[in-house]
Amino acid sequence: MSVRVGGTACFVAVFLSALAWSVTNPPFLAPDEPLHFAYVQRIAETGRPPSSSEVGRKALSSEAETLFSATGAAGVLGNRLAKLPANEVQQEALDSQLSTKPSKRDGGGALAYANSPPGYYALAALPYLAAEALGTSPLGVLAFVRLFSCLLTALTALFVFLFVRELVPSCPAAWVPAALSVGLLPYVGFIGSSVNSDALLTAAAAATFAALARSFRRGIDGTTAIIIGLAASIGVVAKPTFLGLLPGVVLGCGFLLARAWRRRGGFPLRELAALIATPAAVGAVYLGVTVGLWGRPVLPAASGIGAASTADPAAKSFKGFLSFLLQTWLPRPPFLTDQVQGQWPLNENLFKGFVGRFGWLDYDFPQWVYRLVLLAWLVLLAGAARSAYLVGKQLRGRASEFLTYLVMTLGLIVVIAVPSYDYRLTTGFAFEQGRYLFPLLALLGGLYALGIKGFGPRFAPYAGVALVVATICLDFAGLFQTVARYYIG
Amino acid sequence: MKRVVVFAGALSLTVAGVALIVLGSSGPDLIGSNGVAPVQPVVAVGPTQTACMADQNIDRAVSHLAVEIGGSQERPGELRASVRQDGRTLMAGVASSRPGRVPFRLLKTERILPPGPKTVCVTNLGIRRVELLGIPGAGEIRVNRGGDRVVARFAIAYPADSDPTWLGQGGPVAAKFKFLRWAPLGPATFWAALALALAAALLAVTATVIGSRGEPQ
Repeated sequence: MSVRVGGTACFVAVFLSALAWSVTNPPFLAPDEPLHFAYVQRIAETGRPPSSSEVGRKALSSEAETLFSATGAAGVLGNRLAKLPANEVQQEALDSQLSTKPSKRDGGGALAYANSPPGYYALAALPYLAAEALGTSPLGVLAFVRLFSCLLTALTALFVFLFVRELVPSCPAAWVPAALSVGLLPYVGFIGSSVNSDALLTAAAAATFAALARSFRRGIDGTTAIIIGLAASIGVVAKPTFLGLLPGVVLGCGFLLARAWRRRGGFPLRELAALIATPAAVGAVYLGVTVGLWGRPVLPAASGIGAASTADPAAKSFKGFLSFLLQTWLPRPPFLTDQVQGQWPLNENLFKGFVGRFGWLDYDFPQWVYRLVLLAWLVLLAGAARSAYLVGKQLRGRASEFLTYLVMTLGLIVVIAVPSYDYRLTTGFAFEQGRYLFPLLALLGGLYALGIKGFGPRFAPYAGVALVVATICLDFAGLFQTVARYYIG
Repeated sequence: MKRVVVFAGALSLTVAGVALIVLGSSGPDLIGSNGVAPVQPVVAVGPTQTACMADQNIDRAVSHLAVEIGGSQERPGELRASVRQDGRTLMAGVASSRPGRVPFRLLKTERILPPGPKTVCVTNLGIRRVELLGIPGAGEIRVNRGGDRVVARFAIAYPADSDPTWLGQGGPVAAKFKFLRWAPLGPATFWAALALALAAALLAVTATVIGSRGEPQ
């Protein structure tokens, strides 16, 4: 199978799966979807993003408020016992409320993610406007915007495929299954099919990983330098979480330039210029529009990640932060004060959340499903360790590449931990969710591929098939959980 | 030939896996609820006390009832749930109380369940106080006849009699999809979603099997 066919197959399969999720999951029943939609609607309807100074302005427009309540989303959200009351009476009530033409332009105030950069929302305004131009119903407009997210999720799968191909070039049997097993994960389908800036962030991160991996294997050139710069810039304007990856990206680019210098005997000025000029060009456009046209701050802090601290300064300390970080990722040693209310965030929020926690985090899989997935991941991890052991010395030659990925991972972990620590201190509740790890989906694909390769040339194809089949079953289980959650009972 | 066998095997496994999920997993565990979320303790029921909530719509198919209990109890006592109308007890059941959802199997004391709103009561037969979970600020709970009045509602769920599977649910679910959804497709929306997911699965399996014999680069 050619690379083009393999990549296309991954793109189409993941797009179809995400589309199935977008149709199955009821409107507004994904994390903060009403607020994300309000941001898109504000840009599309008024040509301006929400502003944090507009505290008097509603978060949702009158039309979005009507949809949110009349579809039953507001009533079932967070209440496991409640089901969507889909019936003629409700439909008539919605039709009658919408016939009064509630305003679409009075929402998008400070609470509508006003501190988030407008990258995703400005792009998502295009399908919104297309749907409006086609005369689609208000729910149809939401469906169009979700469609845009589905496309971004399919692109993510394509980039994971390209990354894996460069990471494990000697095992083509692993490329397609690794990318598909990432893209068909139920939680990826669920989040990736909703209106959420994570969709663009994830695609940009996967593209960055793919371009870096290609450059590490084939050497950096002008085109890959532009792609790295472009992908990283898009990531930053999609969601500030991407800032966590930047130190690793900069380090990786440094390694690549140094390597090119050594090989060519002359400094790769063209590549350096591309690496600087591309983000500079994107930054200039971004600043021109956001600061010049809209009068927004240069890089506003997002709500959540990157947000200004609201915790009591006296309760915060660097030591406390390090202790929290440790307790998030490792079981708490007995000599450390409990900062996570007796839970282990890696297991409870990040792992289980990543495998599947749906709705507004109000339904998930039975416990045995998580244990089964953990077992499968441990098997793949053992396979990856075997791959690493077999190639031995070759790994040393790729140390700079793996160090780059490690720094990107650590950067993201810190960027997630900062607001998590703050939120725990302020509210006592957990902040971290599985989707915050989505920028590392390419690395999960890499782990899958190495795990498959560890089965050896004879059994690797079977391991790949088994992984894809298992992921498909998990995806279906998630879809049926969603149908049961909202429509049955 | 070998690739065909692998493809057939993979497809069979996928179909078997999906079929297991569809047929094997229990589908609706509830046939309804009173729509109240078990957010916080709203009423404390002491030993021998009874908390009642009127105006409950109870379907004829209801044979089980569940309430949510808060707190932590060392030794669970017993609770009695009853469905009443005009002073008559129509159904009742007893269960051990423990924190979390407590299901009661209701035995009918009247042959026919008359129409109209009912009152659901929970009596504490144990020696420790239990707290019912619900939402405050709306509705009314009465503790003992003529006793305390609490402005709140406690959560009631109606578990299904058996443990029905997904088989046979397609039709009713599809019918629900036609409302408030992506209207142009109507009830076909549900089947379209299923078809999309199946198409994705078929393509994924095909691409994996075909791609499993690529040339290393």
